[in-house]
Amino acid sequence: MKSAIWPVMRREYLSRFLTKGFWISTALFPLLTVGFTVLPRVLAERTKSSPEAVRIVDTMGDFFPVLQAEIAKNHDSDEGPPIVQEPVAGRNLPELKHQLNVLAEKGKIQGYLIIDSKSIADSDLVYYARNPSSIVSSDSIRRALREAVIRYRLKKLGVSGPQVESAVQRVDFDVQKATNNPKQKESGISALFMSFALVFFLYFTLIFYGVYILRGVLEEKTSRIVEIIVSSVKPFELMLGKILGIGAVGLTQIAIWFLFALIMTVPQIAGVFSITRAAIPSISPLTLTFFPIYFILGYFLYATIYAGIGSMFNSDEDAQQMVSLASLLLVVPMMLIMPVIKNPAGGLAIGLSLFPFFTPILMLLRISVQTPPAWQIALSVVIMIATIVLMIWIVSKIYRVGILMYGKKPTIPELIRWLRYT
Amino acid sequence: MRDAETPVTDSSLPIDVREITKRYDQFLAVDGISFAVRPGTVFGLLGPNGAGKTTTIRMIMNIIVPDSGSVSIFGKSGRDVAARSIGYLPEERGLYRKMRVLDHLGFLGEIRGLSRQVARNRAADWLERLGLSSWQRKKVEELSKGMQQKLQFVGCVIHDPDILILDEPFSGLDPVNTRVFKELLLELRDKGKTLVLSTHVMEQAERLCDEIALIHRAKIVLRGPLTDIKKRFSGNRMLVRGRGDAERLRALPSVQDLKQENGQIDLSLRADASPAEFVRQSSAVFEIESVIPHEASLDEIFIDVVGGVSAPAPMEETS
Repeated sequence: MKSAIWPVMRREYLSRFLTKGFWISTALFPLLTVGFTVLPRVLAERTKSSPEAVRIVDTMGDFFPVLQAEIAKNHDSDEGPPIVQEPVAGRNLPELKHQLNVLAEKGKIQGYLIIDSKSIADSDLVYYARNPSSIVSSDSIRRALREAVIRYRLKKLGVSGPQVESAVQRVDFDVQKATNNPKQKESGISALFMSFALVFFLYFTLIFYGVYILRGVLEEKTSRIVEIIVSSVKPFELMLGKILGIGAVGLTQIAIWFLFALIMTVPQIAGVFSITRAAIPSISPLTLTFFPIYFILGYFLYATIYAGIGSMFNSDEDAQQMVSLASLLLVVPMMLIMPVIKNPAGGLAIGLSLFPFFTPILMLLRISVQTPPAWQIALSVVIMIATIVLMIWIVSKIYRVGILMYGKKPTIPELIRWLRYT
Repeated sequence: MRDAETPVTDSSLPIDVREITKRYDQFLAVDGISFAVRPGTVFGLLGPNGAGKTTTIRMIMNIIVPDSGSVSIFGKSGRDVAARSIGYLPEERGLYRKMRVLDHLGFLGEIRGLSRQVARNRAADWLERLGLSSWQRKKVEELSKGMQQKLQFVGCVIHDPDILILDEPFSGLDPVNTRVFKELLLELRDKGKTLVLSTHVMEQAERLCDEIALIHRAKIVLRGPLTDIKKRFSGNRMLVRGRGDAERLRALPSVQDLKQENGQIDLSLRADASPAEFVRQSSAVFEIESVIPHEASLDEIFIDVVGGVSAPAPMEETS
């Protein structure tokens, strides 16, 4: 009898492809991505337009003009709030603070700043803000204030004219990849951003399709179709057909996203969304080659794990604990991103990236940050394939027994005994 | 695979089960069960809940493998043989809710070796027969429960198997569907199909089965043609009504024993005596109004053998 994997796989594919859920999740991902990049800007725009001023209490009298000049200079590029000098003559400081606090609470001002000779000397200034978490406005004040204080001090020291300009000039700092290949000479920040994006995408998709598998197996159990199916299909074929079918759905979805991304980078279309050429980070061909490899390996590994979990339980709630444990295997490498980036060729990074459950995320990260030796990449692939084979072997034994077990949650000793059943 | 151990089997026997045993840790689910099902008959696999019926069926279907013993289907063994020649309707049965009716039946045909087209054509024929043609393109979840039960049945016969194994086939059916199913089953039997019916509802088995095996606590405790079993358990009992002194009947040579209840006499004849003989002998002492041979119901036999209420053994021991 010909294998039943094919009809099972086709059923899994067709019952998900072109469904409402498929389109929603396919559309949602790019929408969220765009949303997360555009939304902060929109919010920043809104903050910028708030008209309330920041009051400056200048007890020395000659600092305010310096600050005002600094803010005016940055006005084009800066989103800072307008500043207004608070008259101080004939008022004591505690009373002044009290009045300003009242104004801030009423929303009449954004905040106020008290500048006296002591705080300038100690380099210790406090900005009293209505909304201390409004980073945009406090940031622009901080920047203007820093330069204004330097200029003010220089002025007091008797330095003036072009000397001041050269002293306060900002230093630009960029990081570039050390390579003789001119194509790869991109900015470090943009490369890092792409690494994060790719690794996050991998993490997201592995969990996403893993849960798809889990739901599929649970659905067969709760709807009680499973015994009808396994009377004609070997449990192993059912499991593999399901993993392959849902994997094909995943690849289709990724292909659609990739196509979408490709269309967005066509200059004419990108122009409409005011995306400049520079804003499109490039991915190195090596990373582009290994992304699908680690996606597929990672998918098989985690799909098998989730299939096993699905077979053990009878409902989402029962499965929740094990699902969290399995997800932890993906969350931990995400938390290790920073240590690995800091020293991608270190022993810790090498060891962690060869641990098969972490390999997809951490090895891909290492490849995109700093190409590891070929033997390490090859070894990681070999270890992963071996682990996948082992996991499929173990899980198929659990699956075979589990899918026919209705009722209570199995205990760990029971699960171990399932492995021995024939 | 098990060629060396497989005993010589009769390839005309639809199902030949020999000494199968299945143990789950300390729990013995099936203990050395043997039976054979003859072609074109209805075989009843009876027993209380938890006796081991479903485990036995799963071993016949090759869903689980026996620890020892063998199962052969028309003289052969293996999952593919079982899947192709048997239509199996498990007790726990369901459907993919989101699939369309015709796609679903097509899929069930395909996994049993039919080509896609053949499977879909047959499915369409069945749906027409059961008055569900207009539902072909609907999703399963849109159908009523009764319609879904019909679908489950079609799914189990879509590959035109020679054998049907039905585990508690009538549980959850409304009276209309119960009748539809029963007629379908009898029709299939008349076409020469072999039926195995597993149930704990004795009245159904009584009406449908030619032979039965009664499983209790993992073992077969009673097996054979239904008529023989009933005769064996009925003995030579009859219920007599009439006028006269019943005690005088006790002295007749054909009478073994009797007791009087609610104005009628429950009477057992000697094994070698016939009812006609009794009637002849009794005419001198008793005026008979009616003699009704008393037939033990399967229910009575069941309780007699199993011994009243039996607590079903748990499927898994609680650890």
